[in-house]
Amino acid sequence: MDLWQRCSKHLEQELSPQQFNTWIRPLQVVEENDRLRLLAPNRFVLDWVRNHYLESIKTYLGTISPDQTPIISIEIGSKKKPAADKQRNNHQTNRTGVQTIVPSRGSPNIESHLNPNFTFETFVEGKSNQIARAASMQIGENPGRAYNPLFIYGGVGLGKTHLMHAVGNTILQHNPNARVIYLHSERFVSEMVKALQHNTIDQFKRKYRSVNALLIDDIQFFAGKERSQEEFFHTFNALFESQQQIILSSDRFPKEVGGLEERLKSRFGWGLTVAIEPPDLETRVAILQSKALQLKAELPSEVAFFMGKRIRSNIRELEGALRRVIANSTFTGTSINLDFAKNALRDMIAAQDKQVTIDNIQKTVAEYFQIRTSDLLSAKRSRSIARPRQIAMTLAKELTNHSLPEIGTAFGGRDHTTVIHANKKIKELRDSDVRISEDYSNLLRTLSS
Amino acid sequence: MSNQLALGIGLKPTVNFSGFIPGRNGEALSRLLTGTDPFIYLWGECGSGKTHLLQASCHQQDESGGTCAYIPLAQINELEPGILEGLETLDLVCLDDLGKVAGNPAWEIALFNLFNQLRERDARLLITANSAPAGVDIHLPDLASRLTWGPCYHLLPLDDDGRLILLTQLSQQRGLELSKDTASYLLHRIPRDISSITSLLEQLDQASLAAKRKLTIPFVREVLGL
Repeated sequence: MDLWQRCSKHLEQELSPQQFNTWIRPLQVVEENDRLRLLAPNRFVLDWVRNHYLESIKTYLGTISPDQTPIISIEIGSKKKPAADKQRNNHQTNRTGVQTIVPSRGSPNIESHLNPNFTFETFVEGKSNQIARAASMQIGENPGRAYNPLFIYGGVGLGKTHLMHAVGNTILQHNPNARVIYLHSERFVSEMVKALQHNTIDQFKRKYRSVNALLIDDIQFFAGKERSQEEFFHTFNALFESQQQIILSSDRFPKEVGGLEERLKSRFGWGLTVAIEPPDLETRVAILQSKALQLKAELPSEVAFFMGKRIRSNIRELEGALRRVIANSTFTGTSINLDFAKNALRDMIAAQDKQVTIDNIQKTVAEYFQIRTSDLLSAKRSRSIARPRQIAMTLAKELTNHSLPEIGTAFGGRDHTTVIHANKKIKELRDSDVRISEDYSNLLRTLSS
Repeated sequence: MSNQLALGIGLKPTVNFSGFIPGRNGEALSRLLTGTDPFIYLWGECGSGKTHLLQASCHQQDESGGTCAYIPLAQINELEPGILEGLETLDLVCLDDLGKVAGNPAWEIALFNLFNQLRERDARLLITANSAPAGVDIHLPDLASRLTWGPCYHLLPLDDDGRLILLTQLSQQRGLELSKDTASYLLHRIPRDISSITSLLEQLDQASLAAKRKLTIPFVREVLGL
């Protein structure tokens, strides 16, 4: 076991699982001869570890390796390669394994951030996205010339990002040396802030003004960020004048995006503006079937239609439900059926867990059997009262964490053995008496839905 | 003779999957064990095992040589959204108790960025909350829609069989002998939420050690005043 592993095991024993998982696990370590470099994912973790744990780490390492205690330092960094381009890039890794700059395919010093799975082949066409798809395909074939800029707008989770990636991937397919960058507008802003902080704004400008295609998602996030808008305005002009492709997306029509400068809004409308609408039922079903195919699952059409009818809002939700349905099928070892789809939807859209109280159970049960709550707490032993009381006690045991003595007390000061008896009795009756079984299920549903 | 004081020593049990009682959550557990879903959303009431599953996932990731982080969002007062920066360079990120930062614009944007970047890098994300995605009050629609992107599981609390297993498991971890009779005796009398069960067992452990007595029914009755 190396030094750091021993130290980490020690810290795992010293700290609470939460502290260990939050502050120690995210650290990566580079051991170099007499040095041990800790890499933290961000400034916040770095400061926290430095202030709370670094001294004990040093002390412990001094104890287990008194003759050769390594020099310990902590910095922001990661050993992991950026994965966006991992399927197609040659990564540049320095001798210690710490990643520095990763180039995009063929173009030096640029990360494209393109997801290779988002292609036109995996994009399901429907009435709602036909025009946007056709325009995007033309741009992929003929960037900078067909439509510039292309502005795609529509609600969340309808496929705007997918189309942008598909254009980028097509451009790179035709010209592996093209410099293509996809990024979210938030990232543009945060990169710019960092560039200003580190005095590298010229580098930042050069990077974005020298690409062949710039794909910026959700430009509504530029709202109110004047400095970023200013920079983006100049980037836009530089790219536009040199006939490099610009694709923008937003949740609404360019003129309606609030908090954006007029000169930007008017430029956004210079090329082609296309909408993506929510998909109709047939398209939703086709999307589900296409995704099922990608996930190598067999999705019966009645299940696809059931899901498509109930999930209308966005495609992400369709995908989430589908993944759950497939998981259900794998777990049970049976083929996908309607019940799986119902389970998936129930868990996705169910309301918050209600805290069921004994009071609430008593009230609901009394109403259901048309008796008074006070009857449940009374000493009456007629069956019309005793049975509902036993059902209510059983529900209290099932739905709350109260101890059995507490439940007994809440039912007119009864003993916990009465609760155990009630529970046993109702269990028997649910097996032998259809009516009791139904009553119990109805009440359980009312209380837990 | 006075009772012997029990020393607060002993190996702390690691939070891992083998210590998780599946109960009615077998499918969710199996998905987490597989570790292939880019995103899973887990929700349920307190004591349904959300934190345990996230920390066990971190443990598993670590054991397999991966990198990970667990972020307890309930501690929003001590944390800053900056803690989410750069986490996309890890293999797995676990966010516990999403509802605590819902409606906070700076956190929502930071989560949104993290979501996009994890997705871009094929890293995994696990999120827990106390309600389904539709019930968490996220203001940013772009983030809200992303929460539905993976399988979503409602975690159900332990039933009586599960509680019995828990009690037995916890006593074994402490090297205590707990007969089935004593366990049922306890479960019929004590509050049945996980934290009460755990703390009462802790109390019994200390008492048993100090009095050098086994956990018989008369002994637990005496210690807990049942």
